[in-house]
Amino acid sequence: MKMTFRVIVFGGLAVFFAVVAVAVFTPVALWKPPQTVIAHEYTAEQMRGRELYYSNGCNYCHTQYVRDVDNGMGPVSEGGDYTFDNPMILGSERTGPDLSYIGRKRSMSWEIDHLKEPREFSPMSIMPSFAFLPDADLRAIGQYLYALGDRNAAEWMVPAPASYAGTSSPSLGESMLPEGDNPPAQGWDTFKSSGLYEGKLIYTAKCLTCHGCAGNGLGHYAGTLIVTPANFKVDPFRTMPDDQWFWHVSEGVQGTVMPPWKESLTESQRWNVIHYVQQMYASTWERDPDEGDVPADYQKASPLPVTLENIDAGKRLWTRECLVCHGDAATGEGPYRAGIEPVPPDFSSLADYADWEDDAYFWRISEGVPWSAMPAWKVSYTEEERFQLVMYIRTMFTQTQIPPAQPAEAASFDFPKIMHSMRIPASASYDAGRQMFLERCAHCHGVAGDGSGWAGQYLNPRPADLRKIAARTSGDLSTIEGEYQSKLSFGIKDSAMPTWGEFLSQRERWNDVRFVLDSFLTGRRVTTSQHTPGALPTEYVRTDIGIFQSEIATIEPAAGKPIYEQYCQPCHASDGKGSGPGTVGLASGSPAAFPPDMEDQYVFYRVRAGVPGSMMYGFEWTLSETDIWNVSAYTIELTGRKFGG
Amino acid sequence: MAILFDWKRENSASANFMLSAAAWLVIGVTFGLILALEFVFPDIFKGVPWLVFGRLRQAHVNTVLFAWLSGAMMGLWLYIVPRLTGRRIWSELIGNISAAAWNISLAVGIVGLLAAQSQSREYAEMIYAVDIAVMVVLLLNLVNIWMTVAHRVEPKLYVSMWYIIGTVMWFPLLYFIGNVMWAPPTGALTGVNDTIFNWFYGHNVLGLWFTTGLLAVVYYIVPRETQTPLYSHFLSLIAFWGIAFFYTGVGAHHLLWAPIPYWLKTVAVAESFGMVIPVMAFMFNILLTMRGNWAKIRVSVPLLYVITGWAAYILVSYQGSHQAIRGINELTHFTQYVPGHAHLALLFFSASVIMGGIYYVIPRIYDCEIWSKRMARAQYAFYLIGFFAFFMGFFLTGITQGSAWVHQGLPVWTVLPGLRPYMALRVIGGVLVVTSFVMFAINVFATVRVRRHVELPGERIPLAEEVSAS
Repeated sequence: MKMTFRVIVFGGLAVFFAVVAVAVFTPVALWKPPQTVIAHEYTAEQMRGRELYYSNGCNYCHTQYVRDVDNGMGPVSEGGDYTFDNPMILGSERTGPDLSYIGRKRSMSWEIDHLKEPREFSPMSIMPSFAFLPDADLRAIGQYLYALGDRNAAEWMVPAPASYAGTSSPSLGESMLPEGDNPPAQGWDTFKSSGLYEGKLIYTAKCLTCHGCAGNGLGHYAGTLIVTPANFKVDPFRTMPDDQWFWHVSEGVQGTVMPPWKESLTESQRWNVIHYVQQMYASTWERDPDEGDVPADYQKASPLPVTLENIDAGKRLWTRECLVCHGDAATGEGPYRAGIEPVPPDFSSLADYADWEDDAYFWRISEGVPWSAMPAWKVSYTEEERFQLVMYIRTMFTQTQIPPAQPAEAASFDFPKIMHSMRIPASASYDAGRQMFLERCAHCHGVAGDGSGWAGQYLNPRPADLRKIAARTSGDLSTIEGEYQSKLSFGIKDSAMPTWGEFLSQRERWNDVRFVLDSFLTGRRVTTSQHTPGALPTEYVRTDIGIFQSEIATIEPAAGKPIYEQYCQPCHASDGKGSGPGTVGLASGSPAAFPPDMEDQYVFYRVRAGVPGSMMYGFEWTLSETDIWNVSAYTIELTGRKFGG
Repeated sequence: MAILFDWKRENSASANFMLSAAAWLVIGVTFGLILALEFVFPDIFKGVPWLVFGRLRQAHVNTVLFAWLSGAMMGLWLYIVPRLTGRRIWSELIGNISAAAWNISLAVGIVGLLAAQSQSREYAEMIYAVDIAVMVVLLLNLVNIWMTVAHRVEPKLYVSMWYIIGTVMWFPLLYFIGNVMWAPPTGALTGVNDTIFNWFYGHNVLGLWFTTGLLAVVYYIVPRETQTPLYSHFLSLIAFWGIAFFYTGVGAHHLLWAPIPYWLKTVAVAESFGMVIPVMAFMFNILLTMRGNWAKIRVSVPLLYVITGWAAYILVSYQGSHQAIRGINELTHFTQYVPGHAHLALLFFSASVIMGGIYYVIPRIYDCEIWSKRMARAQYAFYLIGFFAFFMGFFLTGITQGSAWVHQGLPVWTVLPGLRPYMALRVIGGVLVVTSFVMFAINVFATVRVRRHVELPGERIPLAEEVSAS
């Protein structure tokens, strides 16, 4: 071949344009992906943020497209996601995380603060600091990032894709749900034939760690996740259509760690677990489980000797798994019990359990209870562990078994050497500890710490009277902080004191130790009234009783009386003079008498927010707004003034 | 230096391109070293806007790509073309205007990038005004070289000339299409199709610019320095038409996981793997030309560098072809393995051929010897060892990222902290490479300034331009 100038030029052009026609012009002419739900037009501010984003080269470390091999980044990107992008900034390297869906994961203020000081958020990050950009620029970038992945699309009920749209649930079977006068189905036979039993086993094995056995999305791993797992007891799950359920369970959920279960569960298994969640959490019916008798293969007595070690192991299991619904005193008042139907049992009604043997507990713990949310723990725990749990319930709660004799713990509490030198960290908060005490401890130990909490009175031994800690001031106090951390973390072996180390974080436990020791050992005395006439925090100045009464509920001082008796009387006394029964020997002393000139809003504010640094609790998260008003009204009437007058 | 601006002197355009490129080289690799440092010490230049990673990376890429490699390459052509056509370059003036315009427009473009004025499409970052200036220079260069060819004395066109004639024609087309120059000011389309243009252009900056442009240099210098005719005309034909056919369509292999048509990805994979054919033809052609000549790399500094570049070209081409296969790409995509590949192509193949070319051409233009051959060889040792450490840094980072993300399913931020040692390795290698390049720049400028004449024993071998000057 003779390579002349002409051959090179025309040949070169011909080859070049032939390939360009195939590899560039044809695809560009043919490829018109439709706009997706994620794509949205940019506002002027977002557009400016986008320009700042790419001209500062953010796209050289952060990609904006998700491949099908990528794990846990969100849905695979589609061509139509980029309908409004010019220029395209897909990125070619992933030195930092993909940002396709970042708007669903981070807030705008987080973005701005993180742009300024990335290492304040993750110390090992190698992202440069963009603190040099003016605040307006950072805000624009924040606006742009916040819009990425369209968080609204994530919150809307995105229609299921074509392959799932309209999928309808296979029938549960005849007369499983109430119809007319027929009550809902009950008993083991219907529970098994409808596939719900298999659903329960799958739920216990695969779903419970995140969604929790109470179905509220607060399982053990929930706290480690950015996006909280679904709480089935609220919308949209209560009314979610079947095809949505099946799509989400099969394919996982965008932007979260919810796995695509089609990889490991058959279609019927997925439907069974969906039915289980729907029946037990999302739309519950009032049912009587009607369990029948213990089946033959569960009729056996515990092979374990009654020892403190076995009871303690059972207690750990109880604290870890059961407490959320059954409550630490087993009265069925666990913190997550709301909406569970049938309700968890009340073990304090001892007469009902007098004739229960090991097998009655063991069977229910192993297989769960039909038509109820009680998990089938045989999936997660060995027979020995389940029998240890049985032993704990029988010795501490239903009291049908005698625990082994104990040395008196208060005299010589034995705890690990390593904890002797532990000190309360400076960051531990008295007020946070007080909040924790109200939520987790007061129902047994009493709001005044006198051991007279309403739930714990049937226990044997009875809850400790924490006021006795004050007697320790004379002795050696060098190890007392570690001692109380141990008591909280590991429980007290011969009592129902839970092993809170299984349930509360160490920070929460230290807060609690600070509250207990400050209140009951050294004392936080507030014996003069905090009230100054006319002084109210700004957010309470405009609190209006009239609006509350016209829009929400009528305030009844009489309705506040039982609440006052439960929460206030132990310290403030029935007459409001402040020398209640719980204050006898209390290191923090007794509260001041109610001054006669307290405004309505002031009382409401104090009941709701508490008195920082003192034992006066804030009931904001414990009582409803109406209850707080009622008890405030009752308190005011105690001072001799007419409420609302 | 008066020499720089002596635009009437023969070969002055060639020299001006190359000397300015040598200066840009030092700037470009310094940028690179700062980037490598920022991977390990992210706060090292905290608060300096123009040194922030995202901006500096764009400036680094454009400096080494266009100011250093492209400028030097055009300078080499302006020397080679007259030798192979048997006449002076058509217009020394146009050549010098090109050199000046090239350097000024790139200085504007690069300062713009540092000031966050960017289109942010990879390899096409510089703003629209600079795109136009670059386009003008490319067209001036086209005219100058084609007119030289049209008025040539030597009727036969040697292989190097095929490549140069093709390259000066392809690249302006490529630059226009890939930069979407009909859509100012962003120079981009709206929507996902923009990526197809972007990567068609992005990969062909390497394929139809550096590869074709520098193979011309290899084809010229290897036979000249070994005094051996090129082994095969036939293999040259396969390589030339093979590259034109296969390289043009590889761009979409950057988008194997992006939402573009599936068939286009398959075309790109096929074209990428087809590159094995021209690469093998070129490899054997040079290998067989070098038969019996290997000892000469110990004597000739230019040959040492050019042959290193040839070996690097083989390596990077095979790596590239394999990396385009879906199964491998799944692991390497998004990782530091990819910039590692790019550095193998640009920092080892292209830079090596260009350094060899400059060591060959500059002494001939100024009728002198390389200022210090010992320094040139020491520089080579720094270059080789430094690049190996540097490349291993990329390679190890990349394979760790790929396997952690895909095989173990780990999120990006959990993998990142463990990569620091490899990133540090990159800094260490980078320091050696930068040292080598600084030595190179010193050597080149000293050659021009000192003009060391060496009396050869016996008869003085006539220099190339004396033969062809007529």
